[in-house]
Amino acid sequence: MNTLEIQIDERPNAAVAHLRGNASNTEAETLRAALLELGGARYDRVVIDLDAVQFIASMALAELIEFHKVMHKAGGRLRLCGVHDSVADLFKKTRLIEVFPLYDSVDAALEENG
Amino acid sequence: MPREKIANQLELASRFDEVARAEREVIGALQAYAYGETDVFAIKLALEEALTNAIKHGNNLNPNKRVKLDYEVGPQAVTLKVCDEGQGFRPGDVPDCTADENIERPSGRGVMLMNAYMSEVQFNDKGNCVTMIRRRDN
Repeated sequence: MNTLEIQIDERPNAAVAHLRGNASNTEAETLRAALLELGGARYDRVVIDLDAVQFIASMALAELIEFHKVMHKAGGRLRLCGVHDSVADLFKKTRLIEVFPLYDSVDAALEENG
Repeated sequence: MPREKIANQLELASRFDEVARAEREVIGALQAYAYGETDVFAIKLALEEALTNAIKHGNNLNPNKRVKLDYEVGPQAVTLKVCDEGQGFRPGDVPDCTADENIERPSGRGVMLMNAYMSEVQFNDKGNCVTMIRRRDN
């Protein structure tokens, strides 16, 4: 599977983006467009659910970092959840785990304050 | 399991959709040797980063320039060689994306990921060809 599908689930003051497929470099534009739709000020919290993502590459990471900055500037929070071991290992190797705390589930990511 | 190593050379146009074609072929060879998920993830990632660099930064998406991929898949190791027709670069000049001051920089992770996931990574002197080896994760 080489395409990336993104489904947005709106919650009170929050949005959850469920990603499915490969977050490859080719799909980075798809991710960027979806995150732009979510905007920086529309939601206090945005959770990106990676439970159905088995692969992520550098250009998709770049889009997550850009969106993290947009959210931070607007006073909001971006959280990641459902991260598979291989993808979590990549976040550790790149030290991006220090930028994005990883949560087990959407609910855990939404419930966490701070 | 194949008796001979699986090897091929692919010539790719400088378009991102060519990356998936190359990955499909290499992953097919990995599956023939029953490489595990960890190896497949690592090799797919390193190949994707090398090809993306070659297409985007090496050939500047120039439709008249090509990217060559040579691969060899054996029972214990995989070798990938990616060459573009660009001016080359010095990998040592790429800032360390894991340094404190660079962690939130959006770009510049491709070479780091290649080094992190492959057993050996070697650029030629010009900097337009990279050879990567991954030994099987036992």
